[in-house]
Amino acid sequence: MFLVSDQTEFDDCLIDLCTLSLGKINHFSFQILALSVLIELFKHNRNRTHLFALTNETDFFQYIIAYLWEYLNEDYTCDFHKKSTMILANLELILPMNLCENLISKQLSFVDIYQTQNYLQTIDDYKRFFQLWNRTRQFSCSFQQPLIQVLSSLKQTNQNCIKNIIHEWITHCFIRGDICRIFDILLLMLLHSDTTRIPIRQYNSSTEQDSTSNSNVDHEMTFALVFDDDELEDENQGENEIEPEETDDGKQVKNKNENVFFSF
Amino acid sequence: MIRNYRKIFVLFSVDKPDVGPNIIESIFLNYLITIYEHVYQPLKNVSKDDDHQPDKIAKETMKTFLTLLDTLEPYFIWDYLMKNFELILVNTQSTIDITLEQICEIIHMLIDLSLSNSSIDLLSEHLPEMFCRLMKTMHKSIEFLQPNQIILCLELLSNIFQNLNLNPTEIDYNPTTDDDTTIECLLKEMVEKVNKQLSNQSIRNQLSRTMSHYIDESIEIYKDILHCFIETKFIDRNQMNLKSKFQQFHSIIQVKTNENLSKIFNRYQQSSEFDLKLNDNIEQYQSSFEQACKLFIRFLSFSSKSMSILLFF
Repeated sequence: MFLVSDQTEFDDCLIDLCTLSLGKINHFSFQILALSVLIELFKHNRNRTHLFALTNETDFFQYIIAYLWEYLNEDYTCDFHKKSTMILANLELILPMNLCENLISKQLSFVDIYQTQNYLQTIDDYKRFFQLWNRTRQFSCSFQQPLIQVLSSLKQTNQNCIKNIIHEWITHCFIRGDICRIFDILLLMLLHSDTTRIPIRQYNSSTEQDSTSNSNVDHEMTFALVFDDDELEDENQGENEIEPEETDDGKQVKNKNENVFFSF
Repeated sequence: MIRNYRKIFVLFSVDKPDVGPNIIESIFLNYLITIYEHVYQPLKNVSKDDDHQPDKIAKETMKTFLTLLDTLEPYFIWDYLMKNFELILVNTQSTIDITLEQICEIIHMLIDLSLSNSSIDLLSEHLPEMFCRLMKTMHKSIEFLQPNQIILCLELLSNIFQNLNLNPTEIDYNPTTDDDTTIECLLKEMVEKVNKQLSNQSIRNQLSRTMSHYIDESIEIYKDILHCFIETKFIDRNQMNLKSKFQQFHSIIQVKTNENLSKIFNRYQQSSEFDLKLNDNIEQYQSSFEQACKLFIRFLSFSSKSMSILLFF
C-alpha cells in the first residue's frame, strides 16, 4: 500500500496502472491500455477517493493530459490521434472541475497571438484541437471553453493565417454536417435554459426509465450499446479524405485491426 | 476408440456403482478429449456446413455422452475439471499427458453443452464458483505462464463471464431478410423467446444474486492477477519495482503548478525521473495484456451497472 495523501491508500494494481500510465515507457499501446483501465477504475464509487487524491494533491493528470496533447500533433499517426482523443474525452468526463477542458483552453489562449514568432505554435495547437473536436463527436463531453477560445480568436487575431485555418475547419465542420455541434454550444450560451434541446436518445431512455422503474438495470445496458464501430471507422476515414494535411504527408499508417481494441 | 469408450460408459452408467467411481477419475479426462476431438468438433463443423450429413456414430456417441453427463453429479464434473486445470497450470511437470489448450477446449465444450441442452444442469449453477476458482489458480501461476497460455486462460474466464452475465430482459429483435417476415412469424418468435426466458427466469434470478457477490470477489482477485502480470512480465524485478518508481514520480507530481500544457510536457520530456524501461520482450505480451485489460473493463462495467464508454473504441 502506498499513501498518496494522508488518508488514501493505493493498492498494488492501482499503483502499477498509475506508474505505467505516467512513465515514459515508449510503448503507446500499453500506456493507453493502462490508462483505459485506470479511468474505468476511477469511475467506480469505491475508487473516487483515489481520483480526488490524485487531482487535489498532485499534478498526475496534468502530466497525462500534456503528453496526450502532444500525441495530437500532426507528426504522430492516426492511431495516436484516435486513442489519445478517446482518453482525453474520457478524462474530460471523469475529472472534477473541468480539469481537462481548462488545461486545453489555457493552452490555446496562452500564446500571445499578436506576436509573430509564436503563431506557428498557435497554429499547431489549433490543429490539435481540431483533431480532438472532430473525433469526439460521439461523446457527451463538449470541450466548450476551448471552442469559444478558438472562435473568439477569429475576432481577436490579426494573423490571417490563423483566421484561415479556423475558417477552413469551420467549412469542414459544415461539410461533415457537424456545424450543429458548434451552434449548440453558442445557442446554449445565448438562450434561456428552459429551451434546451436534449438528444432524442437521451429523452427516450429517460422515459423508458420512468415507465419501468422497477426493471433490471441491465435492461438499460442493452440500449446503451447502439454504437457501430464500422460506422465510426468510416466516418474517420471520411475525415481523413477531407483533411488534406492528414492524407498528403503519407504519415497516416492506418491499421484497422489494431484500432478496434475495445470492440467487444 | 470411441466404440470402446461407449462400451465402458454404457456399462458404467447403467448399473455398476462399484465399478464406476473407481475407474472414472482415471479415464474421464481422456474420454473427454476423445469426445471433443472425434465427436464434438466434427458435429460442430457439420452444423456449420449444411452439405455434409452428420455422422451417425458421432451423433449416437454424443447422445451417450449427454446421458452420462446427466447421471454424474454436477459438482463432481466441475471439481474434476478444476482439479486437473490446476494440476496442469500450477505444476508444469505433472504426469498428466494433456495440454492447457486441451483442457480449456474441454471446459469450453462442457459450458457450451450445458447451456444448449436444458436437461443437463452440470455447470450452470456452479459457474460463478468455478469462475472464482479459475481466477485463484491463474493468480498462483501467472508468473510462469507463456503469453499464449495467458490468452487461453483469459478466453476461458471471458467465456464463463459471458455466460454468467445472462440478461433476463434481453430480447433481441433480428429482422430477417427473407420475404416471409409476416407478423405471425414475428409473434411466434417472440412467444418462443418469452417462454424460453420464463423457464430460465428462476435460475437466472438465483444466479444474479450470487453473481454480484462473486463478481466483486473476482474483481479483487483479478486486480492481484493484473498486478502479478505487470510486475513479473513487464519489468526487470531485479532492477526496480513499480512501487518505488511511483514514489519517485510522486515526489515530482505532488508539486502542484499552474502551468500550461507545453511547459508541463517540456518538463516531462526533460526529466529522467519519468523514464520507465520495460522488458525487451514486452511486445510478445501485447495481445495478452490487451485481453486482460478488456476483460477487466468488462468486469468493472458489469459491476458498476453502467456501460463503459471505452467500449466504443
